[in-house]
Amino acid sequence: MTDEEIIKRINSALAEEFELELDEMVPEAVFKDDLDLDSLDAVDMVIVLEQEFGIKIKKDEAFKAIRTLGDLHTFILSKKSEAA
Amino acid sequence: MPSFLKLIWINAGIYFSIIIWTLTGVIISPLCYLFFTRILKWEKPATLRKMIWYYGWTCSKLMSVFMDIKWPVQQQLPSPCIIVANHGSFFDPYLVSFQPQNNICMAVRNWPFKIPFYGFYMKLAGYINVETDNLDVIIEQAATAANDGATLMFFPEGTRSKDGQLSRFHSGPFHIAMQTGLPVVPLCITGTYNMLPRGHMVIRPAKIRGEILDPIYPEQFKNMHNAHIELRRAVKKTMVASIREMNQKM
Repeated sequence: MTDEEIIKRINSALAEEFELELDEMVPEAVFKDDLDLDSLDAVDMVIVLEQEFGIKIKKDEAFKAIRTLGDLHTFILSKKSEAA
Repeated sequence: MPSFLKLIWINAGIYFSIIIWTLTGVIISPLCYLFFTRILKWEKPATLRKMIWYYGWTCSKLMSVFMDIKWPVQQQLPSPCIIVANHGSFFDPYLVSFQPQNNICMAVRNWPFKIPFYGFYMKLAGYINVETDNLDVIIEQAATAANDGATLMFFPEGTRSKDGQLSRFHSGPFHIAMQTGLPVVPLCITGTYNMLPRGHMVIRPAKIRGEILDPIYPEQFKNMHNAHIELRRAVKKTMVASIREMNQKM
């Protein structure tokens, strides 16, 4: 799977889970301010991404530092390359 | 009664009676708790959950002296189950005590656990903190409470509505329903947003109405892709329709 395909899957999974429009899903979008996602959504986000990519995110300190969609893309891509 | 005087009557009555009842609760609840658990040997978390329900039910009764509150004839709920209610006002957690179950385990965010007295009792009652970053822990707590005979109560919007409309639902209760097989019972409340919208302090006269809808069982969604999302959509759809109908009747 290419990086572009992974990013596409992240965006579509989050759009479905959080009822967002795909055109809102730009890398610079800040979760709290632009996508209106809060700490309660972080719980749902972990589940969605773990199911989508078969990775473990729980208790990952790097995940807690994520602020934008671009940060999340980078985080998942690095997780995927670690698993490869 | 002139509207200004009515406003004073409603606000003084509701705030004063709830404060007095809360202070009474602070004083008598430890004695009641010790009596029920030590003398009568009742289960601890369940005892506390019933005590909290009784506190909320009494608050609701006191409110109904000053406000037009009507609740439907109680229907039997499947037990255990997951009740999901819309959230328009600060008073909703009190008003949901009008539904027929009294062993209620609420799912709440982090901050209420920090309220003096309230938070301490919530922890003892085994209330679920949905702001932990671990769904397994949440599901484990929910299953423990359900096995203890408790009905789970969620406000899936996660916070009070900003505009009186039903906001986006979080997935927590629907994940739990899919994993535990517990039915979801939608509970619709109308009028509370008009009574006290978010960010306001002055209570306004309103007609408060509650409606308990038919249970929705997770089995019918289990073979679908993203089953929890499909269940969430189905529950929200039925709640939107019911709230619209209830508002039209007012």
